[in-house]
Amino acid sequence: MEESILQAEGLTKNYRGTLALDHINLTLCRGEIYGFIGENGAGKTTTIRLITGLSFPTEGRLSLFGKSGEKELQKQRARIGCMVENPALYKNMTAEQNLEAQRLQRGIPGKECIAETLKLVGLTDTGKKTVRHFSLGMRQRLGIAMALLNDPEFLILDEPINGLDPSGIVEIRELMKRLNRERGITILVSSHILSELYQTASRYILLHKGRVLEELTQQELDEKCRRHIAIKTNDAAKTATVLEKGLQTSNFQVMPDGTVRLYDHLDDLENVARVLSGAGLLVTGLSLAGDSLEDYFLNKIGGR
Amino acid sequence: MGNLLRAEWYKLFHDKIFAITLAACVLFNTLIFSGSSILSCSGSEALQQCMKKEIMTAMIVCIYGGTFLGSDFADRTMYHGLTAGQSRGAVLHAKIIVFSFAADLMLFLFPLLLTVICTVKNGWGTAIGTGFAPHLFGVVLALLLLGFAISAISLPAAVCFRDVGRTIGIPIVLYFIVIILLNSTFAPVLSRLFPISAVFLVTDGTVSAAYGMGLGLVWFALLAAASTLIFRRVELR
Repeated sequence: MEESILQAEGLTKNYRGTLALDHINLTLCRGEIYGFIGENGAGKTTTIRLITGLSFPTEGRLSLFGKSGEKELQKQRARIGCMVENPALYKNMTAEQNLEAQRLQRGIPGKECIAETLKLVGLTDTGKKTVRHFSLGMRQRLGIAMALLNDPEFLILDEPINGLDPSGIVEIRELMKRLNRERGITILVSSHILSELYQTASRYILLHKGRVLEELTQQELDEKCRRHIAIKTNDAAKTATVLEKGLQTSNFQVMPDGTVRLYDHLDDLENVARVLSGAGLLVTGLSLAGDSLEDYFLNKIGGR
Repeated sequence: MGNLLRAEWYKLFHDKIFAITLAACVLFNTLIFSGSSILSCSGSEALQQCMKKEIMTAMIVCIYGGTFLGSDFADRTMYHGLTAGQSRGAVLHAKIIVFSFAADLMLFLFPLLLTVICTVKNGWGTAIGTGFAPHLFGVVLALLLLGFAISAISLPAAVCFRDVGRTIGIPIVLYFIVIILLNSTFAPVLSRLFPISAVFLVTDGTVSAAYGMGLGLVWFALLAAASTLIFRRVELR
């Protein structure tokens, strides 16, 4: 059985009448990389703030590493590394000094971890430059370094690739995968760049208006986003009938926007067009397609 | 708590703002007394003169309070302590302890230097008998505790507003109100109640060192306890 490192039951957060989280239930299993997906205001950061103890739930129960209750949660949080929203850094200190302050605070013995962590995030050559003079990407890397210093079992990264250049994005993505693979760190990562998240996460949590819309694995997502022929006609219902009778298939789906997704006959586009036209339908679109995570999410929340 | 204190001390001494503010306090007081004949005073007179003008240094301490306390909230560095497995109370208390000592250094470094110089040059100014050492020790302890209380005014502002601007601004406004009150007809009573005026009363002997210690302790405990209570319930950004 998979060991759960985080469990939320009916977790609710109300900010002066605004429901930021609405009775969400979550279980995060050890060793996975979770992609936390949602629009601005969906409740991603609120959830992270509740997990890290920055905020208090209005209702519901949270457990970390199987322990619940405020005192226990407080202790278990020492096993977490996190970066919430923008990196929280001491601006008048250097990268090394920031990590030293963090090392002292966490009581980590030996200073070797500082150089190792700086090397891990590619910040070895910042010297005496204070954080105030760092670029956004450098701050982001240092924020990740701060989160990694204590060799956490559970890493929470809120928008970690904000401000990173393309090579930086690849580096951070590879770093997350490596940490997960080699050290078995469970990662919860939120990002607006869903294509990036798709390349990193092994499971996805879709959040919308404070509710968990869906939890699915990479495999399930691939299945749902599988290749298909997207058919757009003047009559979706009739298209469905024609596909059933003319092509003898029921392997299609009528989408809320009237598009029909046909999962068969992928290499027989011409025949599909012929059958539809032959039935008197006006075909306005016929193409091979496959959902990206982005498309899937937008369809799910009714954004398209 | 030990880890938190070590980290806070590290941050204090590695943040240039502390050194700059400390230097500013000394420089500011040097300017205030530059035209006077303070160097011809005895040690005890010099100490009293310094304490009379301590409210100006207290305002500089308020500015430092904004950067040391307020910026931890504004930059959200406060959460490192919470995610290090520490309680909110411990996180705040470590900060309060280090800030209080830093504030005392800012408040009393110049008076200490000036008092030592004047004592070496002109003597202490009063007869030094057998009870002098305990008396001096009591006065020093009272001043340190009153110093804690003087700087603690920044604590509730920091935890309530959690930004730099208001953590600096509100204590300064409060000190201006105190100045007005200490120039009113109620001054004889009020001066015994405010730590900023009690530092002078302790040094000139109007109130005892024990009274000063008690007053400093009560104000500090009240402000620190109120801040802790607020911080335990506050939502952090």
